[in-house]
Amino acid sequence: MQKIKENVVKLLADILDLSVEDIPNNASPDILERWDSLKHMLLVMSLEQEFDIKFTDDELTDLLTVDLIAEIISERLSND
Amino acid sequence: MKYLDVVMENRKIGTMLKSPVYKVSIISNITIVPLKDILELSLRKEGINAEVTLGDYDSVVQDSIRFASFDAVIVIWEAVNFINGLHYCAENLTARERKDFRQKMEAEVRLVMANLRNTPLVIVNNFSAASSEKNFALDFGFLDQLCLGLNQTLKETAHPNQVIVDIEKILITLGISDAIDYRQFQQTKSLYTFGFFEIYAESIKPAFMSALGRAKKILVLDCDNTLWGGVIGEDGLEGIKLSDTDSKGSIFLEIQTLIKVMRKRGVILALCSKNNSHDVDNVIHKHPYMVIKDDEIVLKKVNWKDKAQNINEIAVELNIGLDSFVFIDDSPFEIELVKAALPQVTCYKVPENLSEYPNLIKKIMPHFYSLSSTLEDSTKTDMYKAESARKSEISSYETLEDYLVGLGLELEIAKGNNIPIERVAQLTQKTNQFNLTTKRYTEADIRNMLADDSYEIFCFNLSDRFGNYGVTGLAIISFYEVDNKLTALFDSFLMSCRVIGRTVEKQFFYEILKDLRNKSVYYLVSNYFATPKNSQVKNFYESIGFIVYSNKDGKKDYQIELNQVALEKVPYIRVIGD
Repeated sequence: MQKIKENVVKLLADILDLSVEDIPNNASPDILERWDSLKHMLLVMSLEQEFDIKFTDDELTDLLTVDLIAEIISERLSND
Repeated sequence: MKYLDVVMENRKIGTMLKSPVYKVSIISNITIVPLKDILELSLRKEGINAEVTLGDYDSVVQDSIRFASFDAVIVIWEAVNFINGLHYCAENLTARERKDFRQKMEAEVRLVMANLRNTPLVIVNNFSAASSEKNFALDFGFLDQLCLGLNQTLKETAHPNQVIVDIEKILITLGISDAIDYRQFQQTKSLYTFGFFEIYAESIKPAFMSALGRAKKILVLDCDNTLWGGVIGEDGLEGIKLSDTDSKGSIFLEIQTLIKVMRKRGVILALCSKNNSHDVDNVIHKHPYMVIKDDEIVLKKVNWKDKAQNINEIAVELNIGLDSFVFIDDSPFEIELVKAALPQVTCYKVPENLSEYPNLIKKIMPHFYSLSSTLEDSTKTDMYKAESARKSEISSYETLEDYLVGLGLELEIAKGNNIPIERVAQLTQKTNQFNLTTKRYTEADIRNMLADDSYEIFCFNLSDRFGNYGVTGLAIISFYEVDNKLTALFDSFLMSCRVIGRTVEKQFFYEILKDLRNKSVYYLVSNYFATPKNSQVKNFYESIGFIVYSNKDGKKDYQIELNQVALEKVPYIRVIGD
């Protein structure tokens, strides 16, 4: 889980063109100005490619914070 | 490749390119953000320092004005998002609403195309309702009809710089389910997958290469197992596979036909094969299914030399840059050798599975074509058309002379500063068959001669009632004195193969002599230098009355007094300005 979270933060930093240190703990679009809806779409695309999964519609609506993203992914990976 | 890998590599390559920025804009009514990095990387890998600017969401019309001054504009205009929810509400529109809507869209399409008519390159996807088929629509007849009509408008309004991409063909290669992702359509209006954008960027790349003058020009082909199945030196004329009756042979028949189509559209063909040349010639001349004939082949390098060396020679002889070359061979050894020695040449290996071979050729084709139907290209097509009209007429005349009389040939001669320098230099570079001395000159050489009183340059433009052949004949003459008598040396005398067989050369010579007579020239001196290609003119000077005074090692020297030349006017050629 921690490993997945680190990976998510790394992807997010790359998408936003920030360094990992610039991403606050449990970041969300509300507190990170650069994380707009377009960047979110690119993040989703990159997460799916990185973890080789395809989010369901319900999961997509729940991808609200870094912690939630990590949680949803780890659930998916343990179920698969 | 993953999206982030593309982004990272693109950032890296972007800092390395120093060439001037090539400004591309993508204007769209859907979200196409990932395409920015994908397209930039794809073009930057070709050395094009592309910088992609995305237009504002859903403001195609305004953006078509805003970005018109860019180097290239891509228009991705999705029918399903013309208005919010069109894909599901289209069918509920009243007849009146549909009509209004159709008119509005048509007007917008015309406006956008007009706004972008001076942009050097415009790539427009044609309209398609295919993406709405799967998840949402059942079969919305209106949307399909709307697209059909708008595509017609696109076709009618497109200028030569505006390339229409058949988006459905790209969708088909991936399949709708892999190309379209509706999950975030409602929220972000993104429709296409990463995989789609990758294929899309590759598909439109030839348009950029061509717009930047980097289209391929020449296709160099191996023979054995590339133009026919088997090895001619071993299997013989009967044994090689090239026919419509066996599966392997029919593929090679298809390949040759595809290549011939390319030739017809202006691709230069050359052969490069390790073989005895008479074996290959035998196939070309005698094989009943051979589609590609001598006329279509500019150069044949059939020998046992290394292929990289042969290709290099072709480049020099034709004066074509190596980066304009595409080379096809079945041997991995030859492909690797050429790749290593001449990295600028694009090489393709004939696929192991022959059934994939025709698709490879079709994939290569777009890399050759300049997309614009510029004036030159369209006259080229006209020229081909005119040529076929001429050919079909030829059988209805009793003799060649009857035919020539009926052609209505018109010759227009230019000299001195009225000659088209670029074309004249090109003629010396390209003409091989009807060329007495085969001297190659650059534009600078020609300019120097024009500035020099001891030279005179004549060229002609020929036309007939079927069309214009353009500037197709050239004579370069230098003057000096012998025994105090002015002497004219025919340094070059040549004619494009397009106009051979019409006795134009005699009339051209006749006109030149008139000019030389006015200059009080006394002696005429000329040469014939034999090359592998120009044997058809080896007795040209004899035919117009010149006298050989030396003939050795493939070089003939002639001399005659001008007033002894008994050359008559060709009665059926009208000389313009005479």
